[in-house]
Amino acid sequence: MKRLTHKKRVWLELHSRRSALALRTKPQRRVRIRKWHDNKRITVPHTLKLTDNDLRSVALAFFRDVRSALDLGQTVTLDFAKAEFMHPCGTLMLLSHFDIWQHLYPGRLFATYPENEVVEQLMQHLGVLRRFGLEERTTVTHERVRFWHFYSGDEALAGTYKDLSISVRQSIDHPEAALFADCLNEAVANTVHHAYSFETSRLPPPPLRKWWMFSQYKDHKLFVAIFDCGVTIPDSLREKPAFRDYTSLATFKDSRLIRLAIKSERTRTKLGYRGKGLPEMLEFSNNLDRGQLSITSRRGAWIYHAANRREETREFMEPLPGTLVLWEMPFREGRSDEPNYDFDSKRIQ
Amino acid sequence: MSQIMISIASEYSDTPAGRYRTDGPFSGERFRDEMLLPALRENDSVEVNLDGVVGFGSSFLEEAFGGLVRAGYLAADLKRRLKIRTSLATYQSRIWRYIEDAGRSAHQAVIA
Repeated sequence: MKRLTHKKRVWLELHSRRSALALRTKPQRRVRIRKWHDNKRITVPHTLKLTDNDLRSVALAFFRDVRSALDLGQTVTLDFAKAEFMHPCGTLMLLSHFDIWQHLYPGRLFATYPENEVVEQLMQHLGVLRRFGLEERTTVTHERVRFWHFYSGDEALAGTYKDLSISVRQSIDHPEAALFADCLNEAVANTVHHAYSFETSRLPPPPLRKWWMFSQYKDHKLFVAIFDCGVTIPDSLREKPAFRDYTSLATFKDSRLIRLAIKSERTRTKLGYRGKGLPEMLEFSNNLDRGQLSITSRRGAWIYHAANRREETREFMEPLPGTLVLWEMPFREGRSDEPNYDFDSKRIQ
Repeated sequence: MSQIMISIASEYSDTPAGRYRTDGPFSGERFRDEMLLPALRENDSVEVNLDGVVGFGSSFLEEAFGGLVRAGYLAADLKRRLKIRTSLATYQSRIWRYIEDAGRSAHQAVIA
């Protein structure tokens, strides 16, 4: 047997120790590496808005990034540090997607505090901080935040937003203001009944086929936003068998199809649409002196300006995965400062 | 001659909404099946009080009242036996329009 030199023996001992250490620590190192790779930090856009072409592209890219990372099995931290302008439309879509993501990927979505004080107040007011396990460390005082109220549901359950219907119906500057509640009920009922009426791969799972609503009454006007992640108005119309009988409509842009649905031209086209909710909102808006009704769905948007009875259509580059209704109406003079308009946050659901 | 009065707000819900049972717990279909139809079967005259409700929604009203025609009642019979009490005239005219429209649709379906 060959005798080992001292130098060789020391080298072998060191090598074997290193190998043993490597064997012991390898699994830990692997886990550590996997965790590092699996946690993706995604920046929430500076401005979250869906009714502007460029900003919508940025917002939808953000939603896609989060979904892709979660689909890949990663955990995602939403970095709110740079978020500064949370428009109702973008915020409503964000809240709807929190519901969906947290249902589909439980325990894999996290968030950071925003640097902007108003955004932090908004996140606290809407219960977002609590949802992400973050401490509610501020007081909601800002005018742009505390008048917002959030509701959501998967049924036509008008009791959910009863406080809104009761508080504003006598204050809206409209000859039949009480019908506001009817319009709201019908819009929500139509969403429940029609927005998820056929299957597509894009739809959320059945428990999350919901409606999400914001309201705000401030500065002599009421603002309501309703969002669903459904099949969209243009796709809903294109799915109708009668649609194929009207081949000329096949080339219609999305905005024109939305107009068709709202203005009830279905008697001519026999394109039965998703109920009377939107036409009734338009009918109600026709009797307003000011205000606006805007329906955005897929790539199109249709906007009605009550002040001059003017209609406007818009086309966007990126399709919205759902339908967004933005409705604004004036209060009667002197009615907007009554104390019952400032709900306490306990009423927010 | 038997008469009955139904107050939607106090006996059913002050926030009814939706057409079908699948839309929500206080739908027009459920109100018609569980309250209106039994009342019409058991009484000569039925008065429905709409006051006290925080809005309806047209699908609720259409299914509850227009649905009576689809359930087999004639519009003319309903005109005689059904009374609507409301402080908002719009509801009165809407309900009778839904009943007449449902009657016309049923008539067209028979002819076809």
